Amino acid sequence: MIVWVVLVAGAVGSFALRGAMVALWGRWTPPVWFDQATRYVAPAMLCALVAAALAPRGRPAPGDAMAVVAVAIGFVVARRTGSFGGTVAAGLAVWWALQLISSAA
Amino acid sequence: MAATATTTQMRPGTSAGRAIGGGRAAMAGMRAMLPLLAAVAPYGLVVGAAASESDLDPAAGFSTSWLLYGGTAQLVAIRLLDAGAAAVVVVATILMVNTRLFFYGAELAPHWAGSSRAWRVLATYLIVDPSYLVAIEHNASQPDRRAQRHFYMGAAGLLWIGWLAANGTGLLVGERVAGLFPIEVLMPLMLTAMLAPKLRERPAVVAAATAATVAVPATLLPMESGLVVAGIAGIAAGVGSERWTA
Repeated sequence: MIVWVVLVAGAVGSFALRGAMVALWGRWTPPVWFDQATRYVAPAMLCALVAAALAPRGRPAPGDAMAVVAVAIGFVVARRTGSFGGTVAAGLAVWWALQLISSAA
Repeated sequence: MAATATTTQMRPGTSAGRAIGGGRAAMAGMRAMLPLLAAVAPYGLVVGAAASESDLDPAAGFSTSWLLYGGTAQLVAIRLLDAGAAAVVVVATILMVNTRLFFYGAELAPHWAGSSRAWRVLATYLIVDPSYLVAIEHNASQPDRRAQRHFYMGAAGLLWIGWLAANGTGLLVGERVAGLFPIEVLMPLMLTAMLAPKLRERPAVVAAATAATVAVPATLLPMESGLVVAGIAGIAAGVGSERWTA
């Protein structure tokens, strides 16, 4: 039940974000500080999500380190190429290779 | 996009582009969307697979698709709900991830002035990265507002259908792909793929680095609330860095 409340609240809030300026067009201009702060929402939020996903939870496991290495290599590929598909493919390839090595050892 | 080039020649000295029928403009929009749809379809599969892998009820997992309608927000919602995060934290995180849509709406708004309310509501619901990208590229070369709107609806409508189909397929075959594409690796990898190429200016780098630094110890906070703390710390650091360097 709480899941549906979350999803509907997320849907209503997302619609409001999408449509705020469509509804307010010509009637309101956002203040400067608002414009400044919103520019950093994406880098801060996405990076927090990455770090939280990679952080060890409870007892550290070897799998944690594999994910960190895979994402770090993905980061390098993303910086060099800017390619979404290339980044995901490279990171996954590294992760699969590490899995193979660890299962063979 | 090659498909749009033939419909966008402007006559010098007139404000209207070459008059074209609404149906043809919508078709041009669909053709322009095809390559982007191909690029996001695998992401849609993975989002669906993440839902099937989680403890969420499949109906709720699939409904993220049409309710939230944005891959990152869906993935985050699925992951956080699965981890037992507090409802407030999940909603706050969804909205923070979706804040970029506010700017897309702001950029599209002037092109939609004068259309019916029902049309604007539907068009607003369909705002997401690919539909926005295709629309602004097309609007730059097609001055006729009516043709712009038909084009947008064709492109965004096709994307909606394709995205829901990809999510549904991922949900069905999810268990078979879950071992090969573990979400705890795929999610950070995809976010990195989206974010890393855009981290160019110093304040954005400061915002990202601060958020990441705070996020790791903040995982100790209950119900994933550390995400919001880290996000706010990153935003504050970004604004501070911008003021400092300015």
